[in-house]
Amino acid sequence: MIAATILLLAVVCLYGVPIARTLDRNVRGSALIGAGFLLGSGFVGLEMFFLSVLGVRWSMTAIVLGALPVLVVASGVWRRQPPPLHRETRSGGFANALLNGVIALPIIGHGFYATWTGLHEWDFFGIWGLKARWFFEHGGIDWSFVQRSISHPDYPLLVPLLYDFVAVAGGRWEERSLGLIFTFMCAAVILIARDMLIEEGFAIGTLAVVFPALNMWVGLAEGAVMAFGCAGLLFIRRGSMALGAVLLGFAAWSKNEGLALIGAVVVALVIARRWRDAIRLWPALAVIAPWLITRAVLALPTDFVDGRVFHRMLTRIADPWTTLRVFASLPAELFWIAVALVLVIYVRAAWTRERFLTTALVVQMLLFFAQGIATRAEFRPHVSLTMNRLPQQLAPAFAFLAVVLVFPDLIVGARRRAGSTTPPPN
Amino acid sequence: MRSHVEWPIVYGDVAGRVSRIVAVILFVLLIAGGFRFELLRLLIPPYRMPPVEGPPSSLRQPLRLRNDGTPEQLRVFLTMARLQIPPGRTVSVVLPAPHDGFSYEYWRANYELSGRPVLLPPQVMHPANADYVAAWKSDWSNPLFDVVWRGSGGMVLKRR
Repeated sequence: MIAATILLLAVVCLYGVPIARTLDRNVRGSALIGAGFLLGSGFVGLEMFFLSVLGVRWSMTAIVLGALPVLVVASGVWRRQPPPLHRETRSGGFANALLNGVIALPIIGHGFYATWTGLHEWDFFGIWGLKARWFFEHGGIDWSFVQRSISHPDYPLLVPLLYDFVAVAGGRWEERSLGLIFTFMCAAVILIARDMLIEEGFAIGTLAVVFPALNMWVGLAEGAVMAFGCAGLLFIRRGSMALGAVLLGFAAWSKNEGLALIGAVVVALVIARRWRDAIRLWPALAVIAPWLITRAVLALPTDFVDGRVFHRMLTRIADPWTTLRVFASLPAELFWIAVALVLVIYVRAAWTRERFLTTALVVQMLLFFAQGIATRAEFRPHVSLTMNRLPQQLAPAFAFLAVVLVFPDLIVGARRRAGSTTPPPN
Repeated sequence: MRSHVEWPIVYGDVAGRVSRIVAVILFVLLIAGGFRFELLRLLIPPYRMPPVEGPPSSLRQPLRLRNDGTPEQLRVFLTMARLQIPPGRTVSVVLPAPHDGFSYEYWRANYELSGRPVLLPPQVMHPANADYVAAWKSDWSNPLFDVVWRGSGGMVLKRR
């Protein structure tokens, strides 16, 4: 089943490649493979959703037939596109092959990590796996279960739908192979970051992104919202608005933090004075609209925003020392200390060169803290059990940001040492 | 990765050297801070996490960094109970402490019995409200229910 799932996910990647090229004709190389997988899985999830909306029982035949129109349209648009802009990069050579090998090792390790035993995280049983397995039994989304289940009915369904896709394709429910979805998603982010760092002229910077991108919460939606969200941020940073926006839409389909990320990106684009780009984010809303409509139609309750949310926030803000002590009790991790140091030391560069990415990440991180302050659950345990996971959703993008802030000093230093005026090529 | 830079070479100004040293330190910190030895250890046989038994003391770390903490007997019981209970029939899961209430095992039972609506824990909703009762390491009984299966330390009861 593991080998069959790897093959299946590779096919998903191929399905997404023409979609990626339709959204951005200049995406290529490893970024095309990464974006292809993310878009392929996102569209497969959407397709499973719409099959259920139409009352079609899930089967491989229905899924393949449903995928054909998207594939035909995307392939048609791709063929009519002008050739991509020429890009001057050097990615060959022994050193790059060595770098690729070093990057591949932890990804393969993550593949073993994701499959060494069945998925058994608490929220896999309570939320993501529970919904998926119920839907699989039902042959489609069981709307009555979505409504009456006490396990976060408002949470979006992309991750359960991807589990179901693998199960439907395999013909049975098998937990171990489901973990591979997350390995592929993490690898996709790494491939995208790698391609963009090659463009920046600093391929070796990928080493700083690899481990933060290999999300350890396999089975939960953290890996999915991380992959779609961070990939979306990186493409939008580069100006690839349509592709980035669609990926953000799928981040919102993964977990509610993805929806918040769309808001953070709008704020960041406005602050970065990219007004037009803020409007060009509309595909993100178009992608998530079906779920928002479903939530409204089914009146799915959310346990987060209720009438007393502001009261809770004000109460905790009014007692800042207690609130700060709770956040300060979180263990300090070297990675986040390094990121914070980079942002402090390179604050001017972050504001002048990377205003969009910096703002988007900082705003989203503040929202994570805000949700802790607003929680209906007991404050300290909630913060302890969420702030260990939520920041990981942004870790690869923070790592990428830190690398692009730091690397000119490495390059300039090398240039000075060489007495040259051009940076050494990577 | 190829570089035209020839080494050793003439150093630039002091500020440039300091900024480069700081940049190198930060870059190394970023890599070291994110590094996860666990993922590389898995590349070596037996390709699995080292055996650490029992439930985790904290949920701050992913559970799959260690062995599945649910007793093997309970896992088998839930799998077998699923076979005894037809889809669509309600079921109440009776578990002893420390597995009772809205516990990890309660949610695991929900998952294993998917397709069969699991009632709220017995402390919240009486098991007699269900069509079936899956009781593990419990002597739960009710005159309205008959035992239809026993095994793996538990039993499945069906409403008459």
